[in-house]
Amino acid sequence: MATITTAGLEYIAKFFNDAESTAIINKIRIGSGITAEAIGNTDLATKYTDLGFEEATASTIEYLNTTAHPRTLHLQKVFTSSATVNRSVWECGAFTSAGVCVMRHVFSPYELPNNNIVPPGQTITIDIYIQIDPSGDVTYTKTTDGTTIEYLFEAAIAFCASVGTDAIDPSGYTCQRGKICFNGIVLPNASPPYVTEARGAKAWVIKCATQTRAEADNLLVHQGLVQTGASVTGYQYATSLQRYGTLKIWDKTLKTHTSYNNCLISGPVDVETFGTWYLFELTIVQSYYGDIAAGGMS
Amino acid sequence: MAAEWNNTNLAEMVKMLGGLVTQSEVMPFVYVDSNGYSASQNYSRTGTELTGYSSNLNSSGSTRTVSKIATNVFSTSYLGIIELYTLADSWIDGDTIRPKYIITFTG
Repeated sequence: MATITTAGLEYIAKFFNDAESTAIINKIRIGSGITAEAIGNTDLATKYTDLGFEEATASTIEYLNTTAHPRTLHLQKVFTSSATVNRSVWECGAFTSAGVCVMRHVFSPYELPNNNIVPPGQTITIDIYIQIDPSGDVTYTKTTDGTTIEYLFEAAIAFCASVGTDAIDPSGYTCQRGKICFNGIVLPNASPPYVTEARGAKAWVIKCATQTRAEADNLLVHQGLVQTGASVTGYQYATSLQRYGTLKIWDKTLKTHTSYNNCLISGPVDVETFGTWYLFELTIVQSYYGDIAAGGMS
Repeated sequence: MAAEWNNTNLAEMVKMLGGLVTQSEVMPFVYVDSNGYSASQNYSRTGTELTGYSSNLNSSGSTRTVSKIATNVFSTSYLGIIELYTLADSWIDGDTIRPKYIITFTG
């Protein structure tokens, strides 16, 4: 769940108090802050302000009345990163057209695709749901004072919010011609892969080298402890807290990439220094079972 | 009789917040049959708490029968978010009916 702020509730009260506020809820911000969400929040902790991640008007504003989202305002925005480096998204918020923070949410690790990392040129979809509910019963009192009869309703209206995201399909990431990529990130100076075949899946060991530490870090954010084994039908499985990614290996004969889905980078990965170089070896394990079909040409 | 929420109409409020329907204040109404009255409206707000009432004088020269008290919003018509169907209360000529609400918004 997300947190409806006190400022947001006050804005709502103003909105219904003889148009004290005429702003509507139509803005979404995303950021990298991890400070715990609180009712006192008036903005994101560390909001992005540029390169495609700045505040944006929701491209979808609709009313939902479904089992999952009864009496709900739904805002959606697709953010496309035009940065040249990975950007992490740890928080989001809904704002009014006048800039009032109505709700804020801090994502948990692994709540977003790619462990909350958005590579350059990639997108992230933020969905915010704001629901209205009656809060308890209405208290009703009737009083008479001379010739005036008063009927008083005392009641509370509750708002709650939640956040959803559309998962990024890693098989859609493009890879430079002639290169090996994991989720669209080039493995720098990659050696020819050492391949191990198992039923329904493979594993690769690939040595990499770079003089730019960020090139290694971009890959290592996807590493995680990986458990592998064989199912009762003999197919190889691999599980991790990390999400599955797609390995693309250039096929010199076919002049195209071969894609392998449901892949995990097995960690921890040691990075050694040699002069100005960073050397590391990636073990990438594929699972026959996963989010999407295991692989094919691209 | 108890005052009841109308959840369907309550949804109009969240539509308003998203700009999907025209904005409306929360309005106190008294009904005689299907005719609604909301005269001399008075609104105030403290923090997240709204208070509103209207003062409706019966100057018709005869006694009327109150059929409903409601807290409304206006979308395409007046929609009751809280409704009380009365037991046919008498509204004597010269008397004032004051429907009033105190609504708190919570998270």
